Amino acid sequence: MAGTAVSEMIFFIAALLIAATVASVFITIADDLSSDLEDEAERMRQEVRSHLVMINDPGNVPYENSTGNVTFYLMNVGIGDLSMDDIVVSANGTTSGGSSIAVRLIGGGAIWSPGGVVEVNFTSSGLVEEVDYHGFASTAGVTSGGKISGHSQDIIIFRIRGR
Amino acid sequence: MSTGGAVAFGVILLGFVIGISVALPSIQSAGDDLKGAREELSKELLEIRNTDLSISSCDLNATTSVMNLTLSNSGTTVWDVGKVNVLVNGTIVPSSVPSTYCYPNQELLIRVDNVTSPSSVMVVGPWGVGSACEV
Repeated sequence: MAGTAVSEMIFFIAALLIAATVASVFITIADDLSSDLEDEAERMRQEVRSHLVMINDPGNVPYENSTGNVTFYLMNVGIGDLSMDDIVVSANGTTSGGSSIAVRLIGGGAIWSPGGVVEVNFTSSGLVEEVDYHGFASTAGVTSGGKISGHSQDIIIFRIRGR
Repeated sequence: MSTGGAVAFGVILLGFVIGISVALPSIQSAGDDLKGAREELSKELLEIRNTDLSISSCDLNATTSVMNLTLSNSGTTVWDVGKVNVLVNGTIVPSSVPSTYCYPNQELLIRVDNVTSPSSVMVVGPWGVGSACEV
Protein backbone atom coordinates (compact mmCIF):
# COMPACT_ATOMS: atom_id res chain seq x y z
CA MET A 1 0.00 0.00 0.00
CA ALA A 2 2.72 2.38 1.07
CA GLY A 3 4.72 1.34 -2.00
CA THR A 4 1.83 2.27 -4.27
CA ALA A 5 1.51 5.70 -2.65
CA VAL A 6 5.21 6.39 -3.11
CA SER A 7 5.16 5.34 -6.73
CA GLU A 8 2.07 7.51 -7.35
CA MET A 9 3.86 10.40 -5.70
CA ILE A 10 6.89 9.84 -7.95
CA PHE A 11 4.67 9.72 -11.04
CA PHE A 12 2.86 12.85 -9.86
CA ILE A 13 6.11 14.78 -9.39
CA ALA A 14 7.47 13.51 -12.71
CA ALA A 15 4.26 14.53 -14.47
CA LEU A 16 4.45 17.97 -12.86
CA LEU A 17 8.09 18.43 -13.89
CA ILE A 18 7.40 17.40 -17.49
CA ALA A 19 4.31 19.62 -17.63
CA ALA A 20 6.23 22.59 -16.21
CA THR A 21 8.98 22.05 -18.78
CA VAL A 22 6.49 21.89 -21.64
CA ALA A 23 4.69 24.98 -20.34
CA SER A 24 8.00 26.81 -20.02
CA VAL A 25 8.88 25.90 -23.62
CA PHE A 26 5.48 27.24 -24.74
CA ILE A 27 6.09 30.54 -22.96
CA THR A 28 9.65 30.87 -24.34
CA ILE A 29 8.48 30.15 -27.91
CA ALA A 30 5.63 32.65 -27.58
CA ASP A 31 7.98 35.26 -26.16
CA ASP A 32 10.54 34.74 -28.96
CA LEU A 33 7.80 34.78 -31.59
CA SER A 34 6.32 38.03 -30.30
CA SER A 35 9.75 39.63 -30.12
CA ASP A 36 10.54 38.56 -33.71
CA LEU A 37 7.16 39.83 -34.91
CA GLU A 38 7.73 43.24 -33.32
CA ASP A 39 11.22 43.48 -34.85
CA GLU A 40 9.96 42.46 -38.29
CA ALA A 41 7.08 44.95 -38.16
CA GLU A 42 9.48 47.72 -37.12
CA ARG A 43 11.89 46.76 -39.92
CA MET A 44 9.10 46.77 -42.52
CA ARG A 45 7.85 50.11 -41.28
CA GLN A 46 11.35 51.57 -41.60
CA GLU A 47 11.73 50.07 -45.09
CA VAL A 48 8.60 51.97 -46.11
CA ARG A 49 9.71 55.18 -44.38
CA SER A 50 13.22 55.15 -45.91
CA HIS A 51 13.45 56.37 -49.46
CA LEU A 52 16.24 58.20 -51.24
CA VAL A 53 16.42 59.51 -54.79
CA MET A 54 19.47 60.59 -56.81
CA ILE A 55 18.52 64.05 -58.07
CA ASN A 56 21.54 64.77 -60.27
CA ASP A 57 21.00 66.19 -63.74
CA PRO A 58 21.70 62.87 -65.53
CA GLY A 59 23.39 64.54 -68.49
CA ASN A 60 25.62 66.75 -66.35
CA VAL A 61 27.00 64.98 -63.30
CA PRO A 62 29.83 67.14 -61.90
CA TYR A 63 33.27 65.60 -62.37
CA GLU A 64 36.76 66.89 -61.62
CA ASN A 65 38.95 65.69 -64.48
CA SER A 66 42.18 66.11 -62.52
CA THR A 67 41.15 64.23 -59.38
CA GLY A 68 38.42 61.91 -60.65
CA ASN A 69 36.02 63.38 -58.10
CA VAL A 70 32.34 62.63 -58.81
CA THR A 71 29.50 64.52 -57.11
CA PHE A 72 26.17 62.85 -56.45
CA TYR A 73 23.18 64.60 -54.91
CA LEU A 74 20.87 62.40 -52.84
CA MET A 75 17.48 63.59 -51.66
CA ASN A 76 15.57 62.07 -48.77
CA VAL A 77 12.08 61.61 -50.24
CA GLY A 78 10.89 59.25 -47.53
CA ILE A 79 9.07 60.05 -44.33
CA GLY A 80 11.83 59.14 -41.90
CA ASP A 81 15.41 60.25 -41.32
CA LEU A 82 18.24 58.64 -43.28
CA SER A 83 21.76 57.82 -42.14
CA MET A 84 24.61 59.89 -43.56
CA ASP A 85 27.18 57.49 -42.09
CA ASP A 86 25.90 54.46 -44.01
CA ILE A 87 25.91 55.95 -47.51
CA VAL A 88 27.45 53.77 -50.21
CA VAL A 89 27.88 55.14 -53.74
CA SER A 90 29.11 53.69 -56.96
CA ALA A 91 30.01 55.02 -60.39
CA ASN A 92 31.18 52.92 -63.32
CA GLY A 93 31.63 49.94 -61.01
CA THR A 94 33.77 51.76 -58.44
CA THR A 95 32.01 51.51 -55.09
CA SER A 96 32.86 53.80 -52.20
CA GLY A 97 31.62 54.34 -48.68
CA GLY A 98 32.69 55.15 -45.14
CA SER A 99 35.80 57.27 -44.92
CA SER A 100 36.43 57.21 -48.68
CA ILE A 101 33.49 59.52 -49.39
CA ALA A 102 32.82 63.09 -48.30
CA VAL A 103 29.22 63.77 -47.30
CA ARG A 104 27.75 67.22 -46.72
CA LEU A 105 24.15 68.08 -45.90
CA ILE A 106 23.21 71.00 -48.13
CA GLY A 107 21.96 73.82 -45.94
CA GLY A 108 23.86 72.48 -42.93
CA GLY A 109 22.78 70.33 -40.01
CA ALA A 110 23.52 66.87 -38.75
CA ILE A 111 20.23 65.06 -39.37
CA TRP A 112 19.22 64.03 -42.87
CA SER A 113 15.50 64.55 -42.54
CA PRO A 114 12.80 64.25 -45.25
CA GLY A 115 13.30 66.78 -48.05
CA GLY A 116 16.99 67.21 -47.22
CA VAL A 117 19.68 66.84 -49.86
CA VAL A 118 23.21 65.56 -49.27
CA GLU A 119 26.17 66.11 -51.55
CA VAL A 120 28.42 63.07 -51.81
CA ASN A 121 31.91 63.40 -53.27
CA PHE A 122 33.98 60.34 -54.11
CA THR A 123 36.66 59.24 -56.55
CA SER A 124 36.09 57.27 -59.73
CA SER A 125 39.01 57.79 -62.06
CA GLY A 126 39.01 57.73 -65.82
CA LEU A 127 35.47 58.89 -66.59
CA VAL A 128 35.07 60.83 -69.81
CA GLU A 129 32.34 62.97 -71.31
CA GLU A 130 29.81 61.67 -73.83
CA VAL A 131 29.95 58.15 -72.37
CA ASP A 132 27.05 56.55 -70.46
CA TYR A 133 27.78 55.32 -66.95
CA HIS A 134 25.77 53.62 -64.24
CA GLY A 135 25.61 55.11 -60.77
CA PHE A 136 24.22 53.75 -57.55
CA ALA A 137 23.56 55.07 -54.07
CA SER A 138 22.20 53.45 -50.95
CA THR A 139 21.85 54.14 -47.27
CA ALA A 140 20.06 52.99 -44.16
CA GLY A 141 17.08 54.48 -42.39
CA VAL A 142 17.22 55.84 -38.86
CA THR A 143 14.42 55.41 -36.33
CA SER A 144 13.28 58.25 -34.09
CA GLY A 145 15.37 56.61 -31.38
CA GLY A 146 18.52 56.81 -33.52
CA LYS A 147 18.58 53.09 -34.31
CA ILE A 148 19.61 51.97 -37.82
CA SER A 149 16.68 50.23 -39.49
CA GLY A 150 15.42 49.99 -43.05
CA HIS A 151 17.25 50.58 -46.29
CA SER A 152 16.88 52.51 -49.53
CA GLN A 153 18.74 52.66 -52.80
CA ASP A 154 18.53 54.31 -56.20
CA ILE A 155 20.31 53.98 -59.51
CA ILE A 156 21.06 56.46 -62.27
CA ILE A 157 22.35 56.31 -65.82
CA PHE A 158 24.46 59.40 -66.31
CA ARG A 159 27.07 61.33 -68.24
CA ILE A 160 29.67 63.47 -66.59
CA ARG A 161 30.32 67.15 -67.04
CA GLY A 162 34.07 67.57 -66.66
CA ARG A 163 35.68 70.72 -65.27
CA MET B 1 -7.10 10.11 -15.76
CA SER B 2 -5.00 10.00 -12.58
CA THR B 3 -4.60 13.05 -10.36
CA GLY B 4 -1.01 13.48 -11.61
CA GLY B 5 -2.12 13.42 -15.23
CA ALA B 6 -4.91 15.94 -14.60
CA VAL B 7 -2.57 18.33 -12.81
CA ALA B 8 0.07 17.91 -15.56
CA PHE B 9 -2.54 18.69 -18.20
CA GLY B 10 -3.59 21.74 -16.17
CA VAL B 11 -0.02 23.00 -15.93
CA ILE B 12 0.53 22.54 -19.69
CA LEU B 13 -2.76 24.34 -20.41
CA LEU B 14 -1.74 27.16 -18.07
CA GLY B 15 1.63 27.46 -19.87
CA PHE B 16 -0.15 27.55 -23.21
CA VAL B 17 -2.52 30.26 -22.01
CA ILE B 18 0.36 32.31 -20.56
CA GLY B 19 2.28 31.87 -23.85
CA ILE B 20 -0.70 33.10 -25.87
CA SER B 21 -1.26 36.01 -23.52
CA VAL B 22 2.42 36.97 -23.82
CA ALA B 23 2.34 36.81 -27.62
CA LEU B 24 -1.05 38.40 -28.26
CA PRO B 25 -0.21 42.05 -27.41
CA SER B 26 2.94 41.82 -29.55
CA ILE B 27 0.99 40.34 -32.48
CA GLN B 28 -1.55 43.16 -32.16
CA SER B 29 1.22 45.76 -31.92
CA ALA B 30 3.02 44.29 -34.97
CA GLY B 31 -0.27 44.32 -36.89
CA ASP B 32 -0.82 47.98 -35.97
CA ASP B 33 2.75 48.80 -37.09
CA LEU B 34 2.24 47.09 -40.44
CA LYS B 35 -1.14 48.79 -40.91
CA GLY B 36 0.52 52.17 -40.17
CA ALA B 37 3.32 51.41 -42.63
CA ARG B 38 0.81 50.49 -45.35
CA GLU B 39 -1.11 53.72 -44.74
CA GLU B 40 2.08 55.78 -44.89
CA LEU B 41 3.12 54.06 -48.12
CA SER B 42 -0.30 54.65 -49.72
CA LYS B 43 -0.21 58.33 -48.72
CA GLU B 44 3.34 58.70 -50.09
CA LEU B 45 2.46 57.02 -53.40
CA LEU B 46 -0.64 59.19 -53.78
CA GLU B 47 1.37 62.37 -53.12
CA ILE B 48 4.05 61.33 -55.63
CA ARG B 49 1.36 60.60 -58.22
CA ASN B 50 -0.29 63.97 -57.63
CA THR B 51 2.93 66.00 -57.66
CA ASP B 52 3.90 67.61 -60.93
CA LEU B 53 5.89 70.67 -61.86
CA SER B 54 7.09 72.39 -64.98
CA ILE B 55 9.34 75.32 -65.72
CA SER B 56 7.23 77.95 -67.50
CA SER B 57 10.05 80.40 -68.11
CA CYS B 58 13.78 80.61 -67.65
CA ASP B 59 15.39 84.03 -68.19
CA LEU B 60 18.99 85.05 -67.65
CA ASN B 61 20.02 88.67 -67.34
CA ALA B 62 23.56 88.51 -68.73
CA THR B 63 24.44 91.92 -67.28
CA THR B 64 23.50 91.14 -63.68
CA SER B 65 24.07 87.34 -63.94
CA VAL B 66 20.66 86.85 -62.33
CA MET B 67 18.49 84.04 -63.57
CA ASN B 68 14.76 84.05 -62.93
CA LEU B 69 12.87 80.80 -63.16
CA THR B 70 9.11 80.53 -63.11
CA LEU B 71 7.93 77.18 -61.87
CA SER B 72 4.32 76.01 -62.24
CA ASN B 73 2.68 73.67 -59.82
CA SER B 74 0.77 71.57 -62.30
CA GLY B 75 -0.12 68.88 -59.80
CA THR B 76 -2.72 68.79 -57.05
CA THR B 77 -0.49 68.87 -53.98
CA VAL B 78 0.95 71.77 -52.00
CA TRP B 79 4.75 71.91 -51.98
CA ASP B 80 7.07 73.07 -49.32
CA VAL B 81 9.31 75.29 -51.47
CA GLY B 82 12.22 74.53 -49.15
CA LYS B 83 12.35 71.16 -50.88
CA VAL B 84 12.96 72.72 -54.31
CA ASN B 85 16.54 72.54 -55.60
CA VAL B 86 18.01 74.22 -58.67
CA LEU B 87 20.85 72.58 -60.60
CA VAL B 88 22.80 74.74 -63.04
CA ASN B 89 25.23 72.82 -65.22
CA GLY B 90 24.65 69.82 -62.98
CA THR B 91 25.56 71.57 -59.72
CA ILE B 92 23.08 72.57 -57.00
CA VAL B 93 23.17 76.35 -56.61
CA PRO B 94 21.70 78.57 -53.89
CA SER B 95 18.35 80.05 -54.85
CA SER B 96 15.79 82.32 -53.26
CA VAL B 97 12.03 82.04 -53.30
CA PRO B 98 9.55 84.57 -51.94
CA SER B 99 7.08 82.17 -50.34
CA THR B 100 6.97 79.09 -48.17
CA TYR B 101 4.37 77.02 -50.00
CA CYS B 102 3.30 76.66 -53.61
CA TYR B 103 -0.34 75.74 -54.22
CA PRO B 104 -1.80 73.90 -57.22
CA ASN B 105 -2.06 76.07 -60.36
CA GLN B 106 0.19 78.68 -58.76
CA GLU B 107 3.53 79.82 -60.11
CA LEU B 108 6.68 80.12 -58.08
CA LEU B 109 9.36 82.64 -58.96
CA ILE B 110 12.87 81.43 -58.19
CA ARG B 111 15.86 83.78 -58.32
CA VAL B 112 19.37 82.45 -58.81
CA ASP B 113 22.34 84.82 -58.53
CA ASN B 114 25.81 84.60 -60.07
CA VAL B 115 24.84 82.48 -63.03
CA THR B 116 27.22 82.61 -65.96
CA SER B 117 26.98 80.61 -69.18
CA PRO B 118 24.45 78.02 -68.08
CA SER B 119 24.06 75.20 -70.56
CA SER B 120 21.60 73.16 -68.52
CA VAL B 121 19.10 74.12 -65.86
CA MET B 122 17.08 71.61 -63.91
CA VAL B 123 14.70 72.08 -61.00
CA VAL B 124 13.98 69.22 -58.62
CA GLY B 125 10.93 69.49 -56.41
CA PRO B 126 9.39 67.40 -53.68
CA TRP B 127 9.70 63.60 -54.06
CA GLY B 128 12.52 64.14 -56.55
CA VAL B 129 10.14 65.23 -59.31
CA GLY B 130 12.12 67.35 -61.78
CA SER B 131 11.85 69.58 -64.81
CA ALA B 132 14.54 70.94 -67.13
CA CYS B 133 14.80 73.95 -69.42
CA GLU B 134 17.13 75.64 -71.86
CA VAL B 135 18.31 79.18 -71.20
